[in-house]
This record gives sequence, structure tokens and C-alpha cells, in this order.
Amino acid sequence: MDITALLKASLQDIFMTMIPLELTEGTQSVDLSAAAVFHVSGMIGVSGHYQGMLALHCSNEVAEAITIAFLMLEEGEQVESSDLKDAIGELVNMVAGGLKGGFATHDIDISIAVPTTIAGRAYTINCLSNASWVNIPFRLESGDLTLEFKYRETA
Amino acid sequence: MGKRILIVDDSSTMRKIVARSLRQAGLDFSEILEAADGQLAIDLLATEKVDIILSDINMPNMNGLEFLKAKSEIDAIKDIPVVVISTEGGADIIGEATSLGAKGSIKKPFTADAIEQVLGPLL
Repeated sequence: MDITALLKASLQDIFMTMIPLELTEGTQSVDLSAAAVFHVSGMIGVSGHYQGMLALHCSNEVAEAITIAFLMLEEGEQVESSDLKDAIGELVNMVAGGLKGGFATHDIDISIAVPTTIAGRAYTINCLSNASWVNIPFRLESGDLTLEFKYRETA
Repeated sequence: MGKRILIVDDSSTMRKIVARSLRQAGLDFSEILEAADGQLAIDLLATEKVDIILSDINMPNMNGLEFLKAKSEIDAIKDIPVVVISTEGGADIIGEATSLGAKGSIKKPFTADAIEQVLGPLL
């Protein structure tokens, strides 16, 4: 089973259906350690056959573009910080739902938690040690975003 | 008097998107009410009359399945139709929601057309 393909398809499906922005595959992963950039990360825990964390990282500028498109805000409407964090959390929640659905077609069951969003400069996120890691860079006109899945097979 | 719709979702973004989709779908309703989880929805339904409920499943405090069960135990609100909206479109969880009284389901991501197809016959 190709977990990378499942994750790509899940994110692309969300953009095609609900976020009218052109999403392409990228080459550059988001560097959360860069102090010059304010970043936003949406994260959600996964348990069951696979245990770990799915996360989506991007700059504040990209998160703002996603939020504007997601909420279909009019030109000039302000993006509230709470809306921005909530939108990125909901986005990673939907990616996790797509991943769960993809796993289900292979008779693999996972459960997903409630998403969390953090924002700031030069932070690191620690998850499982000795875990498998999928890191998928994407690109929007406003910048890069990275989908990351760190997991361990439990069954 | 138009219908009143209650949206139950812990994500304020998703509540706004669902509300926008309801308007885009051209459905006949007069007012949208919101609650951030199942317990807040139960509390709100004690004082507000609504005609249909759209509820997320994956929520903190009281999730959508717990909400369906709690609602089914209150005579005054047990017959209000509920449609679940969730990222979890698996047959098992939707089957559980249906067994608890859900009248339909919508999988995220969704379009306004999907909302119209499921809610139209219930309004």
C-alpha cells in the first residue's frame, strides 16, 4: 500500500472540492526552524493499525491564502487568527479522514483524534522515535506547504 | 415561517463553510443556529426549536454519535432529523450513526450540491 499516494490524493481531493487554489507537487519542504518566517502547523493523532501523527506545515502567508479560499472571504475581509488556525486544523482533519478512508479499502482500521494547531517562529515538533516518516512537499502560488506523516505499525 | 437549521461542529471554519454551502444550495430555510459540540447542542435545543440538525461526528466533549444517543433519549427533540457530516465516511461509523437515528450522511470534503441532495428531501 502506497501511503504517500493516499495522502497526496486526500489533500488534492480537498483542494479540488473545497479550496479553489491551484495545488501542485512541490520540491521544497517547509523548514519550521527558520526564525525569519512565522509558521503554522495543523496536527492530528492517529491510532489503531498505525499509530502516529499527521501534520500539515506552511507559512502564515500560505495559511492565510488557504483560509481566504476555504471560507470564500471577500476582498478586503480580514482573516482572524482564530479562523486561520481553525482552517488549518480542519484541513489536516480532512486529510486524515481521507487517509482513514484509503486505509479502510485495504481493511486497515485507524482512528483519528481531534486536530490541534500551533503557530510561531523556529519551533520543532517531536513525535514517535523509531517511526516511519512520509514527507510530501506541495506548492501554492503563495508558497510551500508540507504534509508529514510519522507513524509506526502496531498490528 | 422558514425552517431553522442547527449546525454542530467544533470547527468554526467548518460551521461557516456549511452555512455558506446551505445558502449556495438554495435550500428553503430562514435561520442557522450553531453549536460547537454535542453537549452545547443539547443545551441549545432545550430552549430553541429547530427543524433539522447537521452534526459533525469527530468532536471533543460530546461527539456526534454520543449526541445522537443523548438526543434520542429526550422526548422533546428525539424526532428532529439529524444528518451527519464527517471526514469519516466509513460504512462502520455511518452505520452506527444511522442505527442511532441519523437520517443521512455527508462526507467531507463536500460541495453545495452534496448538501442539497441530502438535505433537500428532509426540509
